[in-house]
Amino acid sequence: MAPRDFESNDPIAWCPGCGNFGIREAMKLALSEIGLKPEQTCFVSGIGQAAKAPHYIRCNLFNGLHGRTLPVATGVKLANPELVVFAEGGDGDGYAEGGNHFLHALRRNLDMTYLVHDNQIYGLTKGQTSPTSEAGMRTRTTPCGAIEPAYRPLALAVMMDAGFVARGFCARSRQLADLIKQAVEHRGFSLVEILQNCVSFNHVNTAKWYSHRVYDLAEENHDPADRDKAYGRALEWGDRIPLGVIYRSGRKSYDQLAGDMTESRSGDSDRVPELLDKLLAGFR
Amino acid sequence: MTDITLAIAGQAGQGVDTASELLARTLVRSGYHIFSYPNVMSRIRGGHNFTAVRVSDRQVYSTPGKFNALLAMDELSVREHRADMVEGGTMIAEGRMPSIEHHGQSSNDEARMTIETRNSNDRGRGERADRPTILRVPMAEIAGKHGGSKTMANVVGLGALLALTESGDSPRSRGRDRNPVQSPFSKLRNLLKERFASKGEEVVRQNLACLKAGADHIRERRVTNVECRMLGQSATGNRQSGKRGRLLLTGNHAIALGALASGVRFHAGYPMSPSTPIMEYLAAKQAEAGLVMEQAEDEIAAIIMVIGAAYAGARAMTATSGGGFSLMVEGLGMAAMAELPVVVVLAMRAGPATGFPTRTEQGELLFVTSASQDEFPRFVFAPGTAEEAFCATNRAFELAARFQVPAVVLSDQLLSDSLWTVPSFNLARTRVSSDFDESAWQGRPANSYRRYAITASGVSPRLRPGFRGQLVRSLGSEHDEDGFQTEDKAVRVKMHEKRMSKLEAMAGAMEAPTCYPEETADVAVVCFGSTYGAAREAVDILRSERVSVAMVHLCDLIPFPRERMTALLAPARKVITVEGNSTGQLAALLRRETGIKADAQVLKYDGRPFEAASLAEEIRRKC
Repeated sequence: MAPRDFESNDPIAWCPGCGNFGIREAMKLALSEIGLKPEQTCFVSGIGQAAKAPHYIRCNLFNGLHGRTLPVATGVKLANPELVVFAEGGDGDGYAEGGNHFLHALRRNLDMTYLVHDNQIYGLTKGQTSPTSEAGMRTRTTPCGAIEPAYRPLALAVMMDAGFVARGFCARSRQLADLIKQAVEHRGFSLVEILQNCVSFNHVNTAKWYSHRVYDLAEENHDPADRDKAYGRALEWGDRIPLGVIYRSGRKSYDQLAGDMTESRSGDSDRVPELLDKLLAGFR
Repeated sequence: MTDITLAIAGQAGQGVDTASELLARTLVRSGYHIFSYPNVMSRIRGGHNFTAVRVSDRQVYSTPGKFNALLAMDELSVREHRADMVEGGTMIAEGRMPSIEHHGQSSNDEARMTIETRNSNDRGRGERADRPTILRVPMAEIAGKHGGSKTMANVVGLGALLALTESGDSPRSRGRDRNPVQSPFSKLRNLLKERFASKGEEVVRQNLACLKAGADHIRERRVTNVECRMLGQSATGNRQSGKRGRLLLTGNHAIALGALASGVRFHAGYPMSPSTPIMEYLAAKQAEAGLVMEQAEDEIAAIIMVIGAAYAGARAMTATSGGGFSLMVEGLGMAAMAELPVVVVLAMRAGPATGFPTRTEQGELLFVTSASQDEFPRFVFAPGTAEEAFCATNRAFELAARFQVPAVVLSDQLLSDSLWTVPSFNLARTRVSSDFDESAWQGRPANSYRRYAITASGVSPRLRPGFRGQLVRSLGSEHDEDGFQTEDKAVRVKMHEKRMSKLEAMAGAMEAPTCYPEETADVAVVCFGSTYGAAREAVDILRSERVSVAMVHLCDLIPFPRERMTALLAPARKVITVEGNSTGQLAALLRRETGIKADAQVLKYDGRPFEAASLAEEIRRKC
């Protein structure tokens, strides 16, 4: 299927010039190149500008509550392992409201891809500080500048030995599509953080600001299997910001460790009386 | 009629729980009915815990009264429960029995109590001692000698306790079972063999040696307890064993089995007393039953995972207590908005916040009827017994799936933790319907599936995501029939009415309230959930005194059975509500839904269950 076959009819409700458009292009490209059919995919999102993204893609969709993206995706994957599951949301959804779920999704290592659009600001609620806002950044809720330092989720992911950790940039759709493809191919939990400009509320970290700082890890001989080096790259922020695959772990995924879940879920209702007879014997 | 209570008390960690379960199962296998209620503190070691096992030759439904015999594993238990003993009751307590010669002279408290230790042959029913007989058994010492570890002291104690059920004939015959098949003592021997078989022959031998040594300690003293002796004599033995034998299980087990009988495929939960045994049981049966049990990072994640699994096509549930349910509330609304069937077990305890973590109350009725913002249809079931918990859980799964709404099974610590005797579950009455009609979608044009299609019933056909050529779009935001987000006011009204239109058929699908022993009487005692047992037995007591009273118990609570309750309560001269909270939430619900104002209320909010005798007294005063 061609990239345009993944376009839905839902009218897009993003601001003109939003970084999300580039991410959508990369997503269509990746889905097309992987060779998936829309019905084989399941996109789960929460609430925020990024969480609208799956509406604009043809896919199975669950769009739920702010911050609760990963638990829905977890339930979907555990109940139906055949679906190719994507969780998608922003920095507020995933790192603030859903912070605890992020931590445990990293531990759980289910076979799914988590895309985080990180624009370092709250867009849908109109310009409040985010966990990834730089210290000192002035927003509507930090008029004197943010006191807290910015959160480095990629470093946390490396520390947690996440399966696949990568960073893309909305203005580099081709590279981003390749990262998404690798993330889907990786068996286990894949985190793809996507740097994204917000034209309406973040006037510091603009598209130009990111463009001047990003570099491609592939050009610097980075070995994603080297965890210590990966940790250093994950923390790198400021004048130089790395893009590409930061870390790959050899860790086994949840389904590899739990055995064949498809088998264990195959119980059908005809078996219920026999099962109950057996279980009730344990209470006599 | 036999209706006596044997209790076991001690510190957390002394094996009170294990011993009481072994005792209860032994007596069930001997042909009795049991109701066993654990009184535990929220700690793993120390403190004071006790479990009272009520034993009867007919079905019993509520917590025990005074104790006929007590196994006291420590000194605090002796002091704590002296007032709980019936006249002439027997305590078996940790410690050395003072020698007979010293009885008359000793001035210490223990000796005075021991003076009252008499051979029951000297004493008929009419000449009981005021104070309990205290029999000292050095349980820890005997356990060390025969079992190699004082942790088997509880088995020594059980042996001593069960020796009380033996006849007080000659010492020679007392050493053996007159009828080995029928005596509770031999049933317990067999149970210990079964229980410890996997730990090896040596552990079995040690346990049996401890059991016998404990029993011999009492046998040698030729002491028996009249009521306990009757237990040994009326035991009906192997009639109750085998495939048709009675079940002994907790309310939590009944709920977990009800879920398995409903084809549950996914459970996510976070441990919280008193609901935790549900997830533990399901975790243990994952492979056998073909389900996934995932321990979530918190209760929010638990219910959201359950919603994800339901979306993916699995019958899914979670279980928690009030604090966890408070965290789940936003998720409950999302299940309703996305029109997904989820089953939530809410086992209530006492108090807001942490409250009494291991105690019982019914303070969350109104909370659960309206939890989460705005309006949406939901089911609430409040079963009164373990048997009803099994059936109500099956109903919760079936009806949640049929109407694509959330369902709550409202339990509490009393129902969840108590051990109940159940004849057996009626599997012929449980149902597992198919939630998907995929054959209807074969060959349909691609992309023609509409997740929220408007239908006459308000229920839209479900499809599993992954179905060829169709997409399933589920939303927590307001949406149109295709699952596209909308802010259109007409669509909002249409979709809200679609969801709410299920209510009438939902109400029609629920089971009628239970009336005991008949529908109408001068006084109607109205209750819900675990108050069933005490209310039923209080009604028995009052009717034996010729009071015209009947119980109306609500299991299927929400949607509230307005017409049925109005009709049932119309002939009553007086309506008295009985519930475990301080404001009368059931009374408020009854009035809101039917306009009927309760004439009197019996309320309890001390964290302890209602007791039949005192409840009967309270109702009598309000009649």
